[in-house]
Amino acid sequence: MKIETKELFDEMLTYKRRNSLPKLYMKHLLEALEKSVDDNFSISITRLLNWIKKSNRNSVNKDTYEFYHESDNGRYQQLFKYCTAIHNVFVLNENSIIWQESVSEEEKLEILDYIDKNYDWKMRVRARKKK
Amino acid sequence: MEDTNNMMVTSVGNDFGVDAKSLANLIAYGTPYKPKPNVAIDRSLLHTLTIENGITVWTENIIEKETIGSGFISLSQLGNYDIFYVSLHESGYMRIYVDPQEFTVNDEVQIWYRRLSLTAGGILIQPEYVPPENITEFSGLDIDGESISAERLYYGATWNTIVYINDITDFNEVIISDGTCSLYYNYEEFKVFNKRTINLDFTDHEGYGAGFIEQWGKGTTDFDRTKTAKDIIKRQMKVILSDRSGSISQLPMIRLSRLNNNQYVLEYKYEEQAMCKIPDSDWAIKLEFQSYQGLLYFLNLYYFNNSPFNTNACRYEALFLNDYDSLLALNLRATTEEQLTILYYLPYDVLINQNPIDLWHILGKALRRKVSNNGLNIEDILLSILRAIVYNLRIKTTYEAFLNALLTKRINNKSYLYLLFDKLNNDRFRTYIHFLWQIWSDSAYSKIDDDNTALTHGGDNAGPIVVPYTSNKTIGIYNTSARDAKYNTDSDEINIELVVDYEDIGTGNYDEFHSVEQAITAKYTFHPFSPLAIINNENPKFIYGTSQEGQFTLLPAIVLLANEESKFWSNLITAGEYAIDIATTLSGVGNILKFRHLAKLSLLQKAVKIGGYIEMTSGTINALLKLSGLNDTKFGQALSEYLFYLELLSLGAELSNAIEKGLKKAAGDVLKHEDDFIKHLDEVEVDAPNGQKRKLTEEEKIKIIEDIGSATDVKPKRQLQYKNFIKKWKGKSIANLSREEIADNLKGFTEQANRVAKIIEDGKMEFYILDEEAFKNKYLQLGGKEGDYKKYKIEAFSSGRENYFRSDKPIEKFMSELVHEGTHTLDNIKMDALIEKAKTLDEMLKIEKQFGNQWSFEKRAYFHERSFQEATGLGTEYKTIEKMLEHIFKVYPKHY
Repeated sequence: MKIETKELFDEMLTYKRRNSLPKLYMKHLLEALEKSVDDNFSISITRLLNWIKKSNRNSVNKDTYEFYHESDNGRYQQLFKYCTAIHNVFVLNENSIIWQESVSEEEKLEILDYIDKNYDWKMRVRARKKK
Repeated sequence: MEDTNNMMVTSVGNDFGVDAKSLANLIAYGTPYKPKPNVAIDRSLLHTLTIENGITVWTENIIEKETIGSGFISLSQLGNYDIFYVSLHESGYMRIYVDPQEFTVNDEVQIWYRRLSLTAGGILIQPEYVPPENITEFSGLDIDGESISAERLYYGATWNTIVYINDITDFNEVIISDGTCSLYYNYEEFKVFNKRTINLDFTDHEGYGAGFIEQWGKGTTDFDRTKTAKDIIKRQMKVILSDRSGSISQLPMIRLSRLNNNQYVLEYKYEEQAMCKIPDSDWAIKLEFQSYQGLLYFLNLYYFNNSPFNTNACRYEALFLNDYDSLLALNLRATTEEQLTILYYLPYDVLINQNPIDLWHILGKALRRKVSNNGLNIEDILLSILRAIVYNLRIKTTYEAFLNALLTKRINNKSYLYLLFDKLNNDRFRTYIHFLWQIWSDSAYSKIDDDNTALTHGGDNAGPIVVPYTSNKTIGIYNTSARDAKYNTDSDEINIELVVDYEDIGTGNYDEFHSVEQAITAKYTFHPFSPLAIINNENPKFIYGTSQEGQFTLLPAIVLLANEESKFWSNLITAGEYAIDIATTLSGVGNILKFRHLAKLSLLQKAVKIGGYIEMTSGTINALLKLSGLNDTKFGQALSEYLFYLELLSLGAELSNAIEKGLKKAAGDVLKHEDDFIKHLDEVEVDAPNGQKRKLTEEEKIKIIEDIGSATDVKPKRQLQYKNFIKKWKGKSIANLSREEIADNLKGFTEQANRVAKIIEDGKMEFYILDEEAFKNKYLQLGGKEGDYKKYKIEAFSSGRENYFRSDKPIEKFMSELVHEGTHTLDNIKMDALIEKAKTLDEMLKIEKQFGNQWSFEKRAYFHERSFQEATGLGTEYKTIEKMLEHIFKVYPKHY
């Protein structure tokens, strides 16, 4: 994995996992964080990471992230506009995100493993009342 | 109630008199088993504190077994303190409050006490200073209002009892009987009594004491000489002693000697012969009485009410009680007169063990007679019977049953309640009313809630809770606002006609400068036990004594009726006003601040939405009520009623439907007179910080009116709108709801739901309503586990700022889930904002930690959801908060 790529993912993980560097030290995501007009900027990171997280079921296509929500396109445009490093890894299409051709199969696997190992997303569920 | 007998045992020193009490003391507290020199034993010097039904009770003359010193811990070990309060706790520890200090809290000087807690094992727990309101377990140990020295108190952990020694200089050692009912009979100690005839000085069943015998002897009395001579004989007790010392049973054999002029005889037998039933044999002490009254009096001196014996430990008790019962049976089969006579002598301990059915029966018999204390003291006996019946109902939930029985038991269609009301006189009438009042205070009849049948009695014609009752005393003449007060024999209802307003009927002929006012009255009908509140500042002489604390007194309707009886007033004049139980007096509004710590106050805030102004509102109303002339108007009455409910709530009453209804109605009534209200508000002056008075500001006036308004209309209106919204979407798919409509309908119930509505409007909370397949798919896509999906039976979930719901949910369920997931989203937004500001990893971790574990997150979500369910009035998913927490703790892992 290229150093810059690792730095980018670390920042994404930081932003979503809060166990690494504070925002203050961010390099690649800072501009997007500050300039994005998306109020819920964090959602774009969550979805992206959940897509490439290997162990997430029903998200088997790790080659293409097909947009599911109407808002996705606008949301990712903001991310790609303000973050240069992401262009080294992903390409934004109208209705999907795919991997950059320059990312080798080997590096891709490395990234997937890295995210799977380090990304731990928590949801809060409302459990049904037991009768 | 007064004791029917004066049975107090007095102190015995070494130089005792030759009288019945001294002899009784010697038998009861003499030297058990073996002689001990220089020992003074006197239970009348002892006070004990025990727990009964969770309440600490301070009693005189109750003794636990064991000797102080071995079973008791001297509290002086804790330090040389003056003790102000003591309390016992059922779990087996005690607390004492010592060393008062002044503390200034919110500019108010309070007396705080140092609290020392002692465990059953005698271990002292970390002392701390506590504010006065923390002395909730105040026991009533406040002897003559003075502090007491620690060295006078002993704590008996085994029996969870505290013993207080009245005057430690009186004796060297205190011995409390070991309860085996054996006594070492030392003839030398007793011999002064031998062959003496002792006159028994007791107040007999006709109310006579022995004192007049002396007067008779001096020839200064007009009493019937025959009767008096008989009385002397009746009071005689002859003592015969054996000169052999040895252990004897403290419980005598009782027998009737028919051979010897129907004498009643007590024989204290030597222990080795105590089981022997042969009359007139092996006794050490023999006492001969000329009447059973004398014998009962003597036994009462030490055996029953003041018994030093642990009855379970007395080997011969069964024999003794058997004798005693035979003696009673012998006399109880006689006429009503004799039955009542013997009841007079029965000690309270024995009376309360009689079958309540028999007691009701005898009560009925007595009520058929002319009741007076001339001749047989039937009035006293009646009250004793009532007390005994109530004692049998010690579980307070059945106090209603007692009150109901007074109504349902009848003679010639007149209930016992009113028979007693009519037949008792003077002090006994006062005692009766006070007694009813006490019982009533502990019964469900005094509670203002939906289950109180007395409240709803009479349907729409039922009188109000706050009655415009006023009384005053001018030149010795009592005057009240009641025009008429009587009870209805058939229905038991009480009808009271009260002045509620005055009407100007123009100028009179005699004086053109003064208008003539005519009283307008209203007739109210009450159940005799219906709770009434009367405002205290209008009733300075009403039963109320010196306490100026409370704003209202809560009483049953029958007490008001009693108040209207002329005899009651004359009683008050002679007997003085009597203080009532503090519990029946509601606190003044000024005290609301002190009750702030009560969790239930939040109910009050909910009831009258704008919390901060309650105090001002109630304070203002209080001030308004003091304006002259206001009380006699309908507006004034509406105000007092509103104030009453405010105070009730401020004291921590549950916000029951009945109270909520009352509050709403009262607030509505006040606002019916809004113009009057605003006009009068101009007259109110409040205390300014500089000690001056000032008028209310315009803003304050508006707040107060809004405050009252919020108690009445806002909520019901909002609930109605919400119900219509739910109705509109019933059976329709929630997937078609617009964000605007959702947000609009979330608003107006709780602060949290308002916040959720706001983030929905702002787009900060994203949510998707999906069908089952898509819902599950999304859950798994976001990293959810198949196993969890099944285990939790997931109804909705929150993933950061995205939230997912099922489209097949009914509308009201969805709205409620929105508040739940919205709470998670709000948590998330808040956490994001804080984290973004963090400068170090450490700070970030700290911030995360502040939000707690999964239980903390779910508790917040479920609590807010539940509050929303409550506020919308559609019922809560979990019946109680406990059930809800149970669900959280059971289903969710603590950490996740």
